[in-house]
Amino acid sequence: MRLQKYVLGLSILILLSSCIDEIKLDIDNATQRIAIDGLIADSLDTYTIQVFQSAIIGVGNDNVFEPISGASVKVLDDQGNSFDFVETEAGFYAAEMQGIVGRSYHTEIILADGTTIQSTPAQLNASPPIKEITSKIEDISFTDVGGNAVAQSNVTLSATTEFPANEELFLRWRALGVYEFHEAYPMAISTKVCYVQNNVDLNNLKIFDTRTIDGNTIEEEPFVTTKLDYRFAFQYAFLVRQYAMTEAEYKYWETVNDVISIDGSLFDPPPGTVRGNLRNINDPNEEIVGYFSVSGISTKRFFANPQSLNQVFIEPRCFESPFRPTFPECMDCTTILNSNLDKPDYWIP
Amino acid sequence: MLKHLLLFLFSFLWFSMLNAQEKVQLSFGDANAETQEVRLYGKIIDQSTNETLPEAIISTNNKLYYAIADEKGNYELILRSGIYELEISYLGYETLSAQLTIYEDATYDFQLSEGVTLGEVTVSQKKKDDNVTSSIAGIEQLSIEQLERQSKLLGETDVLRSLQSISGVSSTGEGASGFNVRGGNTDENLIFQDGNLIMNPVHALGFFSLFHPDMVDQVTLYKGGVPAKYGGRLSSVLDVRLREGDQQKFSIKGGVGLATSRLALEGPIIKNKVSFIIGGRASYFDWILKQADNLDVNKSEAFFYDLTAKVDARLSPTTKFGFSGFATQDEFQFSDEVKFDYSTTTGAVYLKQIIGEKINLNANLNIGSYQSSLFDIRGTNQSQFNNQIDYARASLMGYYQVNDNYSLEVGAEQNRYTVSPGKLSPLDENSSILADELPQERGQETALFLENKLNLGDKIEILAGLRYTIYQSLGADQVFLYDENVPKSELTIIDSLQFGANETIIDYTGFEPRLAVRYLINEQNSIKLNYNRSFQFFSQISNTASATPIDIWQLSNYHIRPQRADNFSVGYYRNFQDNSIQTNLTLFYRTIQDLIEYKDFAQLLLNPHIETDLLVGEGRAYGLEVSFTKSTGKHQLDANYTYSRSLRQIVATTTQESVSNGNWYPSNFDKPHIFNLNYFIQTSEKTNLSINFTYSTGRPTTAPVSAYSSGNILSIPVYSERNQYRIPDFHRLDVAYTIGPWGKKAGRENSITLSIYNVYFRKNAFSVFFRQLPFQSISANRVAVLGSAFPAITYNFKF
Repeated sequence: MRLQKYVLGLSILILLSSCIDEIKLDIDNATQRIAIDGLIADSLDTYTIQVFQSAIIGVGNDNVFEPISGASVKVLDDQGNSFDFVETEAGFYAAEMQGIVGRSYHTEIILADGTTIQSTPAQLNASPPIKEITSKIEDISFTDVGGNAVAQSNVTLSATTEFPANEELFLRWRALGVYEFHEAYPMAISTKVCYVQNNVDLNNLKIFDTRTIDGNTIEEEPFVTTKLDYRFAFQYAFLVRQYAMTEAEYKYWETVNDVISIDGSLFDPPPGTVRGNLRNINDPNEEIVGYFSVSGISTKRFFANPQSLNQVFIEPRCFESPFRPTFPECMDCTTILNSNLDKPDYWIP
Repeated sequence: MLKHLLLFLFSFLWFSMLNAQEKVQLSFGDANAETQEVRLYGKIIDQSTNETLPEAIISTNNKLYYAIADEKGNYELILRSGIYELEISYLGYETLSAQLTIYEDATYDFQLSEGVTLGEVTVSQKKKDDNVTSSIAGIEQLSIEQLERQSKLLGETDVLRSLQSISGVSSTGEGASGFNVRGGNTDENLIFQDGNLIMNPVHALGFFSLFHPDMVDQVTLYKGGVPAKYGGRLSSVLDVRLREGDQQKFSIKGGVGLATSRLALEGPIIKNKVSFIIGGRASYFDWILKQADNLDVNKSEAFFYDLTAKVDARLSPTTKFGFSGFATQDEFQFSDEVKFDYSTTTGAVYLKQIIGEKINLNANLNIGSYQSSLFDIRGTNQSQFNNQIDYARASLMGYYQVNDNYSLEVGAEQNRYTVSPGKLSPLDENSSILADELPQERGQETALFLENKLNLGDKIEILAGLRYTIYQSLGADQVFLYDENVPKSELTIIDSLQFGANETIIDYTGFEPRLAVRYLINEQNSIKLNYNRSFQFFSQISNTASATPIDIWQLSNYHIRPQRADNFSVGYYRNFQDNSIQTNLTLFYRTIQDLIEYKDFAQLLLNPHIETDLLVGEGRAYGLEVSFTKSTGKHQLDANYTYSRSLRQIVATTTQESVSNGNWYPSNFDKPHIFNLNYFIQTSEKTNLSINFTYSTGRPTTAPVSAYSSGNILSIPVYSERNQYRIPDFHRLDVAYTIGPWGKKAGRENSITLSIYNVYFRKNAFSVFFRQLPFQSISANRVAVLGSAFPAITYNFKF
């Protein structure tokens, strides 16, 4: 009998514990692209269409875009109506209008050099009312970019929406937030209360295809998550907007989601170009990026405060205590970006 | 009578020849006597124990005369009088060579000595000058020494990792499933283990292969010329043979490691007639993953096992029958987000029959199944996605040695594939995911083949084959018809066709010529030319940069034509110093028609009209391979360099359908420069040092060149044309130092190997991705899978 044994010893092994770090990659031959970002919906409102150049990566700040001024911007419907958009600031074109459900709309943008850009006509679909917004608190732990373990509580909002049977809907949720902020500092004589507009869903993309579920109710679909912190100490008001878009737009956001969620994992799709609904009629091969959205809209407000979140106490930012750090905004809350001293009329006392 | 002739088996597969032994000189009779039939007989025994060696093989080196020793070790070789080179071989023993001059009946007993330690992998050795004299260019047979000297991860020798040290063989990176041969995709390799077709040869994301290292006998890779008996893949054939179980005595081999353990048991069922070998492996990575600081890794799980079994029965001196099969299972979970598993179950039976002295027949039947599942275990929409391919394969081959200079092989083969391309099911009652399932697809591939081997004098050998293949896409299925003037999409469907069960939907037929010519300039120099055409009727559909275990297999059908490759290669082989230095220079060129590519962001899962997300184009690959091997002496060196390109072109009527505006662009595995080096030093009688270095150009990637915002999404990258940039170059140094063997008596042996994988902590990128943190610029980030050094100590002992 022959027995052969292998004993592996002293092996230091961190199999599959991959590491990620930043490297320099030489990118050349980059060219700017014309980009369009615009939306119209079925509520009477001022709508904006932004015309700009995409930012070349590695040159300056990727988030600052070169505006394209002097364009003639119009939105047209299938009934021959036309709405002129006027340049309010460089690259931003605005008009007050209201879309009508069932009609088809497109935009036509003629640049100063004569280049004509058109979007594919899209039908405006009605958005069913949001039945209910619910909130949930979850304790999570994760590893941050620096590799540290972090534990925090998050607030997640979910939407429940009933939609007509046999209807295929493509929905997207967005949330706007305003929170109440109380000044406090040691030996304060008088303190103010500010109402701060909060960009709660920045880079948050939540879309939904009703064909993926059974029945005709979307049950508590989570759509935005934010950290449970001082913003909820008094009251946080969410304005939830539910957009009903076309299937083509849904596919656009789906690919946007693919592109922005690429994280180097095994299952990453090879990246490609996100194709929007815009084209240059003079040169169909030129790639115009961005999207002109035609959507139905329905809205609902949700108030989150310690009571509605079932919290005994949520620590505010500012204290009168000398033993706590005093942040500058605790002495003057109007220094916070997008803050306002006027209480919104919808505010629950 | 050549009773124990097993011509088929050994004429093709057995290259077991001498290595360092002195030649035995035998001379019987008077050379002036008339030519006649003479008989050489005697015993073949173990040199040290005098045990007889049943089934030892004695043959002339041209394989024309054969004999196999019977149960008592007796052999009888009948041959025409003359001068021969004899080879006497037995599994696990060093092959003995003898110079035989025979003009009358004679008797002689041969003594064989137990071979070099077979170690973890047993691979038969090829003839010293095989590289020069064989007619097919680009056959790689890995020897045990070559395998053992290659890089070891965690002290483990692995067949697939070792293959990547061969010129022309590469992979997309550490952790990629499969390998790429001469610019071909991973799905273009035909992989067999004992006649079992293998769809996915890897365990644990590609860190290990599923070939049980204690059971492998022989590894053959055809990267250039492919014999006519193989078909259905474009790039290469990897044929792994397991060894037969010991017909005399039982034995156990095993290994215990920190991450995996293995065991193999073998022995006779009926002594000298029926033997078995059965082996299994299992992994336990989890405790290691639990040590990681990274929470995602901490919450991950990985597990695999495999079970391999083989039974061989000698029904009569001319009939052999056997079974070989295996079952494997892999599970992998990353954090609490995604989990997948995959498994292979396959079995094959064979029957070999020798008829007369010159004909043998070989029948093979294989049935197998590969299935994979992807689980989404996040949140409320938990789901499971399954796909599966079932296959059955039957082949019949006959070999006829017409005369000394001409032999013929004919055969037929049929493959049936049933693909279940996708089934989505909710994981629990609370999940709101809708169950969905695509209908099964069926395909049948039938091939007839013929191969002639002809020697024209001493210099020229020609291997000319032809394969005729009929592929049928079979119902029941529904086929959509599209408006031909616009790109295919769901919206351009104009009609559909219904086909009943087993009704032929469409068929594709074609001839696949195979040609290999060797011109021997002299004993040390030869030139080889190869041309072969192949078709491929099913491909792995993957829209990830590297192949993954859960990729779907897509059969050719009404809309998807079979891919076709034409391969050309010319090689110059030159040996020096009595074949101890072997050099080779090969040029290759390959074209691929009807190559399958994907549209950007193709929807491949559960797509009932997948043809709308596929693109068809052309591919080409070309390159130059140079290799140098010095395999004797204190300092041994194996070095090779490959320059190659792998390019694709997708031209369509609209920009949306073309890739990179219809220009040629590099494939995902286009790595122009690859250099491999293996330096082995016998530092003393009992110690040796092995140094491995590998370098390759970084693989292509598509990088963002600009960014824009859309709605509340601040920065959406705009990508370059496909694969216009490259990730950083790959290079790595591994060393291993072995002390031993010592205590070599009564079969006991000890040795210690100290090895370090990735000595200088190179963070080789598996992939590069681009991300943007809020209000910061987009940055390139690399993912290094094995980003640090991995030292290991292996203690081997045997008794």
